[in-house]
Amino acid sequence: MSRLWGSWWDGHPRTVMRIGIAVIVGLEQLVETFQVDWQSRAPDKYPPTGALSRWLAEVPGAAWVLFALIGIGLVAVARDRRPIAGGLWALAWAAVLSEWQTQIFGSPSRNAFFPGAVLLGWTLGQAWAVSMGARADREGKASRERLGEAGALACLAAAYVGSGLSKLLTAGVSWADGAQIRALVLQQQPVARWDWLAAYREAFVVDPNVAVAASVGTLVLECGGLLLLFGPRLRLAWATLLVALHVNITLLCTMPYVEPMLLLPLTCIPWPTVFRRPPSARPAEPGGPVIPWPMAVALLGLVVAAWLAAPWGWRATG
Amino acid sequence: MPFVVAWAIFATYVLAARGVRNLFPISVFDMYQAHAPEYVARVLVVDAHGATAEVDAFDDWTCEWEVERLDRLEPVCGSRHRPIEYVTRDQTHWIERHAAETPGPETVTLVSRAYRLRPEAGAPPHEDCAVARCTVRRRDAP
Repeated sequence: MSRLWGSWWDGHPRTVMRIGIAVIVGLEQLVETFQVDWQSRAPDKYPPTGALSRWLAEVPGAAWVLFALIGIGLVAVARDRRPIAGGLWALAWAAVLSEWQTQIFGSPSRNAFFPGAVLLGWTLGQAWAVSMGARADREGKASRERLGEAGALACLAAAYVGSGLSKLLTAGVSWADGAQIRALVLQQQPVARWDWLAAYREAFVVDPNVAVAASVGTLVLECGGLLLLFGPRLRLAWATLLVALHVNITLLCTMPYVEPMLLLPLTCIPWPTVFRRPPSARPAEPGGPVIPWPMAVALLGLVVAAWLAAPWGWRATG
Repeated sequence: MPFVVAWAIFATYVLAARGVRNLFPISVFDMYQAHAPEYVARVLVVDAHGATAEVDAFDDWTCEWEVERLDRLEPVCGSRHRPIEYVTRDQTHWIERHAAETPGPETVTLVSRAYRLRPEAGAPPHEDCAVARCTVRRRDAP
């Protein structure tokens, strides 16, 4: 089984990854907080559409209070002090902020979901290690963060695979005919101030073959996101391709997904090798069943809760 | 061990997202999942020479409007003119924040341009619907 998985971080402390995840989540939540704060103060343009948004709009500085609460959890994550409780705490308050934004803006920020998903995975992975009896010493911490990395990568991969699946389940293989790529360029930003950029966008609009190639490439790269869950070299190669996908989307539509473009390098580049960190002993595999029953119950419960919460989930219309 | 953990959490996230769709931090990431409609629209600025530009290329807006709101074009322009709501909202905010008391030096037309997506190669044919006549000042003008 271990031959199927590998990480550049094995044998090295994951301090940079841990702090990096907390910082990226924090920066994204800071952006969300700014948006929600000023949008909530312009009810003529962003009318509150639910009880939560109406109530929070009455509380002075509510968005910043939420950000402070999120920050407390993220500091705990970054410092590795009660990281599981800290992660869940931050996610819970960020969920409130996200719901508030959904109620006033009309849709949630999908940019925020990437770091949120990674923090969820990081937290679940650590919970898995604890449920297997990971101790509070240095070796236990290494074991905990090793599974945290696995969880973080799992949720990052799930984001891309989920996106690819959504396209295939909604539009079928016809999504690959290039129409949506051309539509995106035309609807989002067909005009560019730089001639080279205008010509680049025009190539996708006027040549269906270019648009088809981009559509097929998008589906392949997104569905192939599960390749992040094997060895480190394959992970690095696929992460590079996914960053290239985001760069292309930014060029075509001016839709920068900065968060995954930070998370992919953070988790997939061999930073310990880049910075020539000396390796330490790998943590011993914890004993007990591979899937401890508390984790099995927790993961199953998460799926059931998500399906029960379907009426409250936001649904895209197009 | 990490392999099992990763795939179990991966499956959990994908299955959960298919249920709830989008509820932080779980998302099915269903942006632009549908097949594109035959017509797509975008609000653009057309200057006196027929050149197109973005709204944020101009300051000092004063307009005579043909429509009530930029995100409600259908009553005036027809069903082909359905630009993305958050794009028109950003454009509206730009025009409001960069409004002028007195007319600017340049006259432009704000149009909704509806493109028809055809499978054939070549620039997609389009139809314009004027939504406002405005005076502006070009931001990069000396």
